[in-house]
Amino acid sequence: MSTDPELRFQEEQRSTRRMWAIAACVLLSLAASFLLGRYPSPYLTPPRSILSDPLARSLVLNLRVPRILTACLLGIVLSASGTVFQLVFRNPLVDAGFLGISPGAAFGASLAIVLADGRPATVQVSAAVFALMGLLSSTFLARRARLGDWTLRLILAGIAVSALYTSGTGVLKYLADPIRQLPDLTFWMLGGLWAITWADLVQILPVVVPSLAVIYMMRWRLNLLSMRDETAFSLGAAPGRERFVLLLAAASSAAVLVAKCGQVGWVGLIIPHIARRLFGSDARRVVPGGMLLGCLFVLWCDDVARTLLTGEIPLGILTSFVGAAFFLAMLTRQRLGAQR
Amino acid sequence: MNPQTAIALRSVSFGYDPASPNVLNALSVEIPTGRVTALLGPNGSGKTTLLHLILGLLLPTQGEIVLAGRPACQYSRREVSHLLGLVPQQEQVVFDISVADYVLLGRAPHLGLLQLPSQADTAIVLEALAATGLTRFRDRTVPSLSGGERQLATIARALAQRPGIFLLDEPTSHLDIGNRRRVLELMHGLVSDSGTVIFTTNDPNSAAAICHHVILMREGRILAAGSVSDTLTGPALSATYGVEVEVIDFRGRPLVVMH
Repeated sequence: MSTDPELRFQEEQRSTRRMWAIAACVLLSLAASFLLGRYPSPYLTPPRSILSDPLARSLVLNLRVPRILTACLLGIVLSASGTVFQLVFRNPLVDAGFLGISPGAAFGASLAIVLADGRPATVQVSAAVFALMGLLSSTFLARRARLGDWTLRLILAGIAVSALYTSGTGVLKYLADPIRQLPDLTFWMLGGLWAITWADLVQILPVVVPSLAVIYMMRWRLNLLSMRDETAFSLGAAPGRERFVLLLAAASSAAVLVAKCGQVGWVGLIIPHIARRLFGSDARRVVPGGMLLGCLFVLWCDDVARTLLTGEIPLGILTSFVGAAFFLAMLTRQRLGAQR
Repeated sequence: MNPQTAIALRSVSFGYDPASPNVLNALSVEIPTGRVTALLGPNGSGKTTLLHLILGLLLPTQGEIVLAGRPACQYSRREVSHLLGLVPQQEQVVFDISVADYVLLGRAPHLGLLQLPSQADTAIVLEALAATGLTRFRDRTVPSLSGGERQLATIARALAQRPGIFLLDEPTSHLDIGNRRRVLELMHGLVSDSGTVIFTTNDPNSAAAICHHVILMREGRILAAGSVSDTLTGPALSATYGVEVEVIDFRGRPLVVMH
């Protein structure tokens, strides 16, 4: 980024200030989240109380900290992958639900709950495998299709694969034992971070960290890849190959987190829109800005989910409710930051 | 090949589908360096397909394309993007990217895959915006521009790319008279700066206004190629468009009038 005030565009100056403000907000929220909970006392607990109570200390270090860090990572990944999907597909209304990733994860989890032992590890592995299979089968079908350009073929293939997965999940719900299996299945689909441990966090890092690094480092390139094939090609890009690399990074990181955390909807759809409103549509700013906003959004929702009531509120319900409300507000004010 | 030849086509044919007739048939022509060349022909004559073949977006089913003395197939994608800059027919920008950020995309061929644009790239963008008269629009979003302004923004992006050869696909087709004149003058200016300009058009008067060299196309074939005085004649244009036209002299330039 240029340091010469003469050459810096107005939008860049505004968005940089906003970015710093949101980063400060993330740090403050993180600090507050460590003190928020239901034990040893509901809502905010002074640090002294946590330090003096061995059970509270253990609870915070072994459950609350990994959960909070995973919530941050979930927000970062879902918003980064949502931004990638929207730019690559040149469509502001897509997220990880496209390309069969979320429906694939739902099918995989249902399969593990209904037909296998239903243990968390089995559910997560099965969800991750079928989410990635969603991506691979969408890509394979798009290569075989003989209609339109690469982007259109991939969207159509993604819709078809998602529909197949959704119908498969429907069959599994129909077959599920209504007493033992259906509640597990329903709760997984509503999404949540109650079961996250340090081991879970460590398991997702090898996929998530390189994927986020690829997305972050190629963020300016995303602007180019959001243009039509002939433009991207004429500017030296290999549109198909570069889009595939970015989609693979976005899809694999989203798949791994959806497998761990269940269906946490609307983050990947709404956060890129809010980021575009705050930082402009240049992906150099939308990607990091969206990551910060996504982190903040999921962190706040998870704080509410685990603190507000004595019982856990499924995270997916909160993110969907708040996300849909935001989306409607932006839609009616025509502030989507896009022309479709 | 003549050293003054920017692009040479040698018996180039192309078809989208092997089962269907070719879109372009055995085209052989040389396009001179440092000149404005118009690819002129009715809708569907294969002008845009020919531009895409020159760019390398499509590959000829037969024949060879030679760019600056070397077969096109020997160029890497990056080398081609240094040599050729495309201004597409209608750029569709979905997201509200600013004009400055849009023009900055023209620097992509000069940057690595993971590299961000530098201050020097920003300075080149500002020059391109000034050359196209878009400096005051630099913070506006591309979708909010009028058709003419958007076309100028696309030309500014090609200027920021700094290629030796500009390929413009129907650059004046959706413009009013004022914007058409601005775009034509800008294209003429590109040649003054030692560039080569090739543009497609179905309007013979746009070609007559600025070009030095004309290629007349119809149904995937080249009917005539040469200087303005040799090609923009009544009989040649009548054969190209399938309607009778007359060419009159207007202040030393041909003016095409339809009967």
